Amino acid sequence: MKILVVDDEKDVQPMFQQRFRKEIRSKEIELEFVFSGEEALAYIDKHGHRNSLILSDINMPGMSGLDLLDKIQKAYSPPPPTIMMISAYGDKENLDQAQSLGAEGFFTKPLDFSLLKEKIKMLSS
Amino acid sequence: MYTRRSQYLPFTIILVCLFVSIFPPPLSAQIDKDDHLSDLLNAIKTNRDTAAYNRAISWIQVSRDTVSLLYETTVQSELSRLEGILDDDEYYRLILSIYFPSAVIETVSAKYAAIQYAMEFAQNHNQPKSKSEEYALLAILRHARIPFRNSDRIYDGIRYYSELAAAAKRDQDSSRLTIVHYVLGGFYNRLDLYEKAKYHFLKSLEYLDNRQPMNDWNDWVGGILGLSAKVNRCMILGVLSIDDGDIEEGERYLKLGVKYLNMIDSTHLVGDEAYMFLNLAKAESLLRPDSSDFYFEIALKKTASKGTTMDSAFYYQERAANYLLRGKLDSALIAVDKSKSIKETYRLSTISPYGGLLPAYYHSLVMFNRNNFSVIPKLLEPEINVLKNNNARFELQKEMKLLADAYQQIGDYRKESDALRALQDLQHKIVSEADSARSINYEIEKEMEAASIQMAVLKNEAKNSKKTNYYLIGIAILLAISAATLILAFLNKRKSNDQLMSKNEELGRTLMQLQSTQNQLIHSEKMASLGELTAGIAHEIQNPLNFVNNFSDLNRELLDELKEAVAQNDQEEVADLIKDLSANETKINHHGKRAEEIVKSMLMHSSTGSGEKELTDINALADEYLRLSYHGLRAKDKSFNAEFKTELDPDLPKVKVIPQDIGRVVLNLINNAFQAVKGIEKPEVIVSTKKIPLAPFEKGGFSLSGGRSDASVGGGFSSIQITVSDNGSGIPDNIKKKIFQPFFTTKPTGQGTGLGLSMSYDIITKGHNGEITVETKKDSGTKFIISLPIN
Repeated sequence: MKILVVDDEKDVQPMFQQRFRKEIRSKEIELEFVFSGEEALAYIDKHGHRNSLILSDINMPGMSGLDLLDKIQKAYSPPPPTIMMISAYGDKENLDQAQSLGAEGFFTKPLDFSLLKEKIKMLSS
Repeated sequence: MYTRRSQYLPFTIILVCLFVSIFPPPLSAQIDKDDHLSDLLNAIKTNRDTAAYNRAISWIQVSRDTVSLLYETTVQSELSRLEGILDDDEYYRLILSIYFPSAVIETVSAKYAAIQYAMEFAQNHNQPKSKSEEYALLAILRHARIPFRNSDRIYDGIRYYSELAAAAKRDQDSSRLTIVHYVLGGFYNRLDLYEKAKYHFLKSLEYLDNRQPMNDWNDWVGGILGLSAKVNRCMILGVLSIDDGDIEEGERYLKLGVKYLNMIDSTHLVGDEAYMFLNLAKAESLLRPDSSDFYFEIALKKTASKGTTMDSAFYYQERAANYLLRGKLDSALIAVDKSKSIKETYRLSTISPYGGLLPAYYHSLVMFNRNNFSVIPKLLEPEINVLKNNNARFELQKEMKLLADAYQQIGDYRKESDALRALQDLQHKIVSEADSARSINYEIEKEMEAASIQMAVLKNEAKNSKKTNYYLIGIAILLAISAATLILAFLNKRKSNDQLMSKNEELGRTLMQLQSTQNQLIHSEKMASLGELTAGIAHEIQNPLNFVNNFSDLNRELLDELKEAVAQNDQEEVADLIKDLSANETKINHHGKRAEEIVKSMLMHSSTGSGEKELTDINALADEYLRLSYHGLRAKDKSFNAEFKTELDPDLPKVKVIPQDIGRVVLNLINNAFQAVKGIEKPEVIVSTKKIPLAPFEKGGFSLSGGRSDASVGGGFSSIQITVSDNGSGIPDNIKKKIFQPFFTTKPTGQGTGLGLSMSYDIITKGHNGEITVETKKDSGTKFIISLPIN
């Protein structure tokens, strides 16, 4: 399964790569990184959305994660599953909105990777 | 950039000179400088002992410039003994004879002693029982301005005389009010607060009436009340206006002064006469230099017949300035020499009540115009030192500028830069002192509102006086009418004064309440922007914590794997793991520090100020607040979005600022910028920094008038610039002027305090000697530019 990670924080990349080092080695998953909503749309546009999962931050300059979610849901059928990563603040509101837009799950920061892995396993099966 | 004007008002009559001229030392008195005053005073046994009395007086005149008699306890105890022996008239004349010369001695201790004595005298003679006691009190209060003004006690002076003003107003004591306002006017003028100075002089004028008090005390102490004082106030206002560059207005005040002068019975002494005509000549010289000879002739005549040696010295100084304006350098030099020799012969001080007597400066100007630059430093430096010791900043600025220009012409750039640096330090000091003086007295501040009315009244009066010249034929009729009008005007004025007074008191109370409300509002402004920050901070802290937690968890896992790899002796894996471990450790550290910085800035923001200046990385500060602001706004308003970026000068030097204050300003501007781009297509906010080399020191002509001169900050220094720009709809012209005003807000009532930008303005300009400007264009955006000096 291909996971597209969308976050404007650059250190997300080594963090995910190390956290998923075993899964990457065993080729269970493949990670791609983009740093904004716009880049994410361009990437999906170019590489297709099949067999992939999107893991996106919400607060980013420019297009927000929720806008990205909304656009993906509208542009693709069926849309690729999208998981949102949210900060602690404004949980309820962000959560409600992500849910109503069709997000598959929500994770608050700091991320609990064991839970995230469970979720990914569930979605890929 | 700001303007300067003359610090030194030509104050009134030279008391000492008058004193000598009215009370010449009795010829019979044998003076021995080795005598001691207390012994001479001790010799006065009865009221009739005029010989002993005269001897004491003569001794004081001869020894007056060497000792501060106020110091001596023996003198003081003799004086209190004489209070019961001499009659009031003689007793207070004796007191003043000692006080006047003692108060102008230029040592710090003498100045403090004179201040101390005046305050004690005012306290002990608060309710005068005789005319002579009252005049002595007024004269001492008036004369004490000199030690206050010429020392570091000027702020105490403002406070003290403001209190006296309030008390005199309560007692409706117009004599004391006119003196106190006169002194305050002088203080504010020294501090370069022209409008305030003018206000107080006008106020002082207002409390005077057209009766010349019929006793020789008024003349003796320098014409402190009545028409002669009116002449003085008009002269001061005239000189003030000329120094401020409004020469026509100055001329009007001076001519009004001449009008009052002509109303005075010729038996009375008016010490300002010569100097007033000299200033008329000066005004004429500035307006029409080539046709001012006539006025100078009148001034010279008045100086010869009515003036003192000081008047003569100033006459030749102004004459030199006049010749310089006309390019007549030889004549200018002759005039300078005359002024200088009078100054030296009569040991006149450099800083006189009329302002600076500066032969070296004018001599240097002549030399400068003759391109003989090398002699200038030697000429100027001694005079500059005297000016420094006397806190004479206006003259100092002129001379330091000339010195710097001379060094530049000589080609000694190191000394030029030293001189410019000293000048810049002085200018900074002046600006900050003016700021603190501005806030020193709230009571007086309020009254400024009423001042404009009075100014209008006076201007009218001045105009009318001009017109009357055309109607001389009808003078008889006019006299009758004007007498009636004057009475009516006087009655009206008194009535309106009473109304004004009660209105002022009411205003005072309201403004006190307003001030306390304002303090609360400033506090809530701080808290409001803190609230906006909190959400941003939560986001900003969660992000680094995300990394700290995860990378440290990861390192634990990696350590386990490392143990395994070591056990299996898989060298490649060991090397890989160690590399990752080390990289992760760096990231933990980095993000931990990031969180720490955020918490720190939050604490800084909520702290109450009184922060100290410290070297601050403005780039880091700008970057951090940009992110905080963005996330804060996003947290509050989900629909909000905008691009933001930084364009930071990587070589930006650290600058000494109060970081929480500058943080507040930057945050405020960024918040505003984000607000401004709401609903705009492709909204964008950019924060940029750069360093700016300042233009080299502006070279300009010398201000002969002592008028406005550009005082741009010197070259060789640089500043940094922080720019916050947005691509919003811009600020409409009608609002642009008001944005830095307190309480101005475009937000709906209750949503904004309207203090954000005005606080920012104060922080930048008053707190950091910087500048904040705005550039805005309809539909293309707004740029706020902050400039901060580097040193």
